[in-house]
Amino acid sequence: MSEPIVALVDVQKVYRTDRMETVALQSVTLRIASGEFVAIMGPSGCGKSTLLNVLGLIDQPSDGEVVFAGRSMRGLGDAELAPIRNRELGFVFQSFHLIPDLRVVDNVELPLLYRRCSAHERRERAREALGIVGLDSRVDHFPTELSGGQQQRVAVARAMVGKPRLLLADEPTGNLDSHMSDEIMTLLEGLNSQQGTTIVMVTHDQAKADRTQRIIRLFDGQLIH
Amino acid sequence: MLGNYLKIAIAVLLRRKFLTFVNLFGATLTLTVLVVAYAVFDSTVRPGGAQHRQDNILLVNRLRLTNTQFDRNWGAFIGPAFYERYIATLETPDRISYMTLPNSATSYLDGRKLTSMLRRTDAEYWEILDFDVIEGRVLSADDVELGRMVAVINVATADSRFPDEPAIGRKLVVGRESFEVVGVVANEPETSRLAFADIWVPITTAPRRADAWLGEGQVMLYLEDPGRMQLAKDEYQTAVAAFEPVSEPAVFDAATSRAWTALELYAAQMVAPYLEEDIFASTDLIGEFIAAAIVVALLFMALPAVNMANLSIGRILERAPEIGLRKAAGASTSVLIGQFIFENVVLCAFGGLLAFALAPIVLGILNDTVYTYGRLSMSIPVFAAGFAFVVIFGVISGAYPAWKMARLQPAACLRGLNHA
Repeated sequence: MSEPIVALVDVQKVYRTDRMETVALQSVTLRIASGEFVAIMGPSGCGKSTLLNVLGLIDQPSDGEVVFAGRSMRGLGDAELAPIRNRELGFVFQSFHLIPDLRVVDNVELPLLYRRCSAHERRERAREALGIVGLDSRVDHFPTELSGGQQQRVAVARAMVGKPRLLLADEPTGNLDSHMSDEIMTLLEGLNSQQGTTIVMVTHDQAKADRTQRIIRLFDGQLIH
Repeated sequence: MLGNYLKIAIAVLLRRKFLTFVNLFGATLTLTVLVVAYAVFDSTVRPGGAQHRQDNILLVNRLRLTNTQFDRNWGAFIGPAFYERYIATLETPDRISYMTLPNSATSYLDGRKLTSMLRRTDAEYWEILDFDVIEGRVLSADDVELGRMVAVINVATADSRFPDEPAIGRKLVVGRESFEVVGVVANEPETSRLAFADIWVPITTAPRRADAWLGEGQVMLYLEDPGRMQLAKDEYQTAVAAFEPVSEPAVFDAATSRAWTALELYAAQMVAPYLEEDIFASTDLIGEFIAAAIVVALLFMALPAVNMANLSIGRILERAPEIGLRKAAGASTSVLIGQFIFENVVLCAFGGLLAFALAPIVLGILNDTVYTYGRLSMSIPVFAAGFAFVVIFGVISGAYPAWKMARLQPAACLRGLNHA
């Protein structure tokens, strides 16, 4: 296995309120190798999304260590994590999370807004990404004018426009019919095989998981080996 | 990036129209009041018109005589004796003018009672101030020296007294005095403290005691080079410090007086009473005045700002997914704070535009009802101040909601949506 792009070492995640504690992740240790396409499976509420968020540096573990590209993320603040998220990570969500008030091309440009990039270059790269997902004719549409599958393709274009090394997809086909799901899976497979993007995908669907290279199973916040 | 922020800002405003209306209403009202207040201030310290050389003028308008033995003071305006002895002899100013404040003078015309503001001046007054002469001439050195009973009147007085005939050469009866009109000048507004009057007559026509130390006069010191202001101030202080004891109207052995710029005088009049400062001796209270003005302006902005902040915080849940998404895409907290403040400034900018449309109407009403010959207007400095108010109000009302929104955890924002 090649060098891990991200690794978790004995990670715990506990959500605390005044009344109770909920353990979402417990002693999770795993490595995601560069170039892998990994599926995370498990029943609802087992901690899949939490695991994905911790891997994507948008949630902090309560204990343990996240190592990204060989560098420990322990103790890093928002100002240090933000550029890592911007340059190295892309996210695709089940409910797309497109900004409805922005045109498709503006949505795709979003990650490029937070790095040194001219408006012209942003626009070119966004159009290029939309071309890859087959939506180059929809750049000036608003998200609400697109089907669910097209919206998710826009979300994939947004995730890949910054050329991240790691793409995290949280049930990317969960809201789509089988035909559109298949389109999205094909897109992700293409990203992985042609561009070498490492992909970690949460899914409930065994058939989708079977199309990945490795399946990580989670139950009650723990990995099942 | 700003284009993206602007699109979002406008979209957010259009999402909840009533909420936007409430916010906009508060912002517009607040900014209109601030713009109008600044316009009044600006027209007082930078009146333009006949006083367009304001920056070259120092004003001496207060004098306090003191009996140091009995700690007894008498403060008033400048008397002729003090002027002749301690001011007319100053060497730094290029021109020195002695004139009275405008006093109310009553006369009757066709059974109608007319009240005019009458100012008595010397000839230098007309050299320092640059009146727009409509007809005839202004007062000459001979008029003043010989005490001629001649008068210059403004257009409003000419129109009211001599509506159907030329004013030049006509007799003008004011109180018990009768003057021949020799000139008509443009109206100068009440906010132009030095130029404002309806009727101007030679100062030598006034029944006065030449030996009076205190009186109703004020003095303009004019310097061709404004860079010599401090030199003139220092020379005047030296002259005042050399005050020699007098026995009329009582025994006084010390004098206190200052030469002010327009802004210094305005600042002193506004804040000295509250600071228990001696207004006769105060030199520079501009800093205190600016600080007080900022505090008052901020307090005035505080209530609508809190209201706007409250409404904005109520929309956090609505925007949580976008916040989570932007953070996941690499926006730092500080970048998001900047974005949300920018959005609020955009809202306030719309309020500012409405305020810029409303303010001239309010200023017009003030010109017609409050200020005689009012000339309050939306000058470039007023627009600039208005722009500053927009930014400050936008930042104040947007800072806390922006900080609160930007500090949300991205995962929490996203989890709040899909509950995965």
